[in-house]
Amino acid sequence: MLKQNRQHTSVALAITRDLIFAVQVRSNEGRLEILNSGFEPVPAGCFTEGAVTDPQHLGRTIRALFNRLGLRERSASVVLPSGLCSLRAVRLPELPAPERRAVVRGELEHAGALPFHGGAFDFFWVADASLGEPALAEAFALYTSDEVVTGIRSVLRSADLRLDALEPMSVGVLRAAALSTTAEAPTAVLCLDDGSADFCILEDNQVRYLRRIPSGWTDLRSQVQATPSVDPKGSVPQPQMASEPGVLRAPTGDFPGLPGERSVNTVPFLVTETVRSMAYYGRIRGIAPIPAQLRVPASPGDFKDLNSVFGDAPVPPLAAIDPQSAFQIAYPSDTGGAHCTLPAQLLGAIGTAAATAGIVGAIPQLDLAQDDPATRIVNPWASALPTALIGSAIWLILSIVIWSALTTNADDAANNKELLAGRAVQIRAQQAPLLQQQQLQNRTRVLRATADLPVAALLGQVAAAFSKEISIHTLSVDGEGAIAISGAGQSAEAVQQFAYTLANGKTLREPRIDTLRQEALDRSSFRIVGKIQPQSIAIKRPGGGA
Amino acid sequence: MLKSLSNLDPKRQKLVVLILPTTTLLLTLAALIPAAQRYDESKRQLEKMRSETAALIHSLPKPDNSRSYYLRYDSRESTMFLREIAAIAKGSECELSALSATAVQEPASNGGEKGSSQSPWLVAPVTVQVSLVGSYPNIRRFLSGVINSQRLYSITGLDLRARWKAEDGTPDTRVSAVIRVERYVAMRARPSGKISPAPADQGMPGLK
Repeated sequence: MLKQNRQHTSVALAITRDLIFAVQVRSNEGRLEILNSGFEPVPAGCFTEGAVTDPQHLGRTIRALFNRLGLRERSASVVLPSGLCSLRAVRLPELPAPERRAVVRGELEHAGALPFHGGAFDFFWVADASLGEPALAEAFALYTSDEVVTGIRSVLRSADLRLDALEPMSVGVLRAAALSTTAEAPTAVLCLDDGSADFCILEDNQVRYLRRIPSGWTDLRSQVQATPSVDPKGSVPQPQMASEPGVLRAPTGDFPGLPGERSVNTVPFLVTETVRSMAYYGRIRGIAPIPAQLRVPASPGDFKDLNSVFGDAPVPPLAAIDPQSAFQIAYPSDTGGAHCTLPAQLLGAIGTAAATAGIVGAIPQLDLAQDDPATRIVNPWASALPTALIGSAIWLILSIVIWSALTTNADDAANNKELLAGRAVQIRAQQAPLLQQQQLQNRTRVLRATADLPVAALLGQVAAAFSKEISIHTLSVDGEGAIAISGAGQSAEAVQQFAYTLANGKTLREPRIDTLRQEALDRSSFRIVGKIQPQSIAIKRPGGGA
Repeated sequence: MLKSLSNLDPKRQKLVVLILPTTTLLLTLAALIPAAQRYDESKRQLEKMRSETAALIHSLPKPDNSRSYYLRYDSRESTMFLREIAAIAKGSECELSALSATAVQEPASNGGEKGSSQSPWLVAPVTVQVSLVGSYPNIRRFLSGVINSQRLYSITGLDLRARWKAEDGTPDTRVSAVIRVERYVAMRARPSGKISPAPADQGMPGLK
């Protein structure tokens, strides 16, 4: 069952001695889509098996390939050739998943496969009740040295890329093989590299058995050329077919083809080891379904040679996994597909890219670089994770405290405001009568200021100006403050003196003699008019003061 | 939890590292900013209320109780007025000959109490024409007495006329005075704007 991951693209690189192959794939609703692929020749002296001699130059070449293909990914997975990693099977009791990695590393370190606290590895954990009781499991560990990982990482860094995963080529080939077929029958896959071959048995597209055979295309071709007339019949142990069809049983008898015997054996070592591996698998598994096919990544030409080498060997029928036909990946024209490991490299890159894109399927991605200390440096998110968590928690707690304080203070302020508002209402209620009294008094002051006339002062002023030569008959002051004084004087001078004296006072403004008529020798009637001075609005208190 | 998160693939770790603090920050800010605004607003309103209350306490109205500026307009007020005028006339040795009141002027409304169901108290002037006979100095004393009385009055007009003896036609030493005295009464305004005398039992500020 393939993992569903919508529209996720990834790029994988396969770096051989001669070529760099990049493939961009996309997971579309769990289906693999190859979006782009291309080759770039490796500059001379940049890369040799086992060591990267010029990572900057190689990185620039990869960057040029990315630019040419229009790839915008900032990271890539890399397929590790089988020659750069080793395989070891470790039988262990069934363990909880979190404990497995440490135990497998311990076993590898104990066996000297990995240096203590060094090296890079990953493993398939195959649990099988048939392996024994209590339940046992087999860990197929693939490992490499730190130098290999560091070299590849430096190449990618030069290409301004991050390393998504570093996966052995044969694992990618297995995944590509699983993706290229929908059949769920047991399948054997033989992934050949130059000097070695990884033999794998898949059941339900799951890895059940994995073995490294120390013989590859180089040995195969040299042996085939040395013994052109190979007759595998009679020299290869024949697996005993069970009475029921479709069941493979372990072969009996001695098995030729041990590494030390290759020079004297007419059967290629690879063939005998393949047969032995199948027989061994059949022995440890007891009754097991016979793999329907032995799938080999190879170009049509190489497959033809290979098929002739295996000949009538007791193995399932060989079937080629050709990237050209299975995934429409064209071989580079300049090499013409001449290099026999190229199909495996291409399939490995496709399978690894598919895993990075999320199409893991039944074959989990192995990442040899996951233990690399540089991984933790390259992946800053992992190191930032505790900071983010703790920082977020502290900020959250701080925010809650601040929020509580703000809310409490706001509530207190609102309560105090309510209290003060109540107090203000109380004060206003207490002050209301006084305030109203004050307002009415002010209104009274205004009314009085516009109406009151200083008539008492006027009478005083008139009294002050009065003389025996003057008699006053009427004195009137109207509401507008107009004053009219009429009377008689013994002479006009007396009247004028009276008017003059009145004018010197403060109450009467601009008095003038309106009429002056001499009625007799010693009697002149007069009428003096004027205007009363505006009076101050100040209200005297009884007994003085304003 | 940290261990389980550290086992996540880097892309998910990146998501956690980016989204968790961002989400926390946004959520907390979404809670903190309104709380801070509410706190600021509450604090500002509290300060405003404090200053208003302090100002209210310090701005205690202090009406002038040294004089009676106005009286409630009712029958008792008229009696008191008459009694006081008569007392002043008697004190100034004037002969009070007549007293006639004019209609009460409609007071100008000064707003009224907000939120109160009752009509506001208003002050209106009431003019009374007082006729006196007395000597000129006594008329002056009467006027001084009116102005300086405990109750507030205004003199709004005066007519003095010399009296003549009928027998010989010589002037009398006394004069006839018609003095317009304005007093101030408090009453409630009717809803139509007209004023009405306040009932005797109705309380009024500053009066007992």
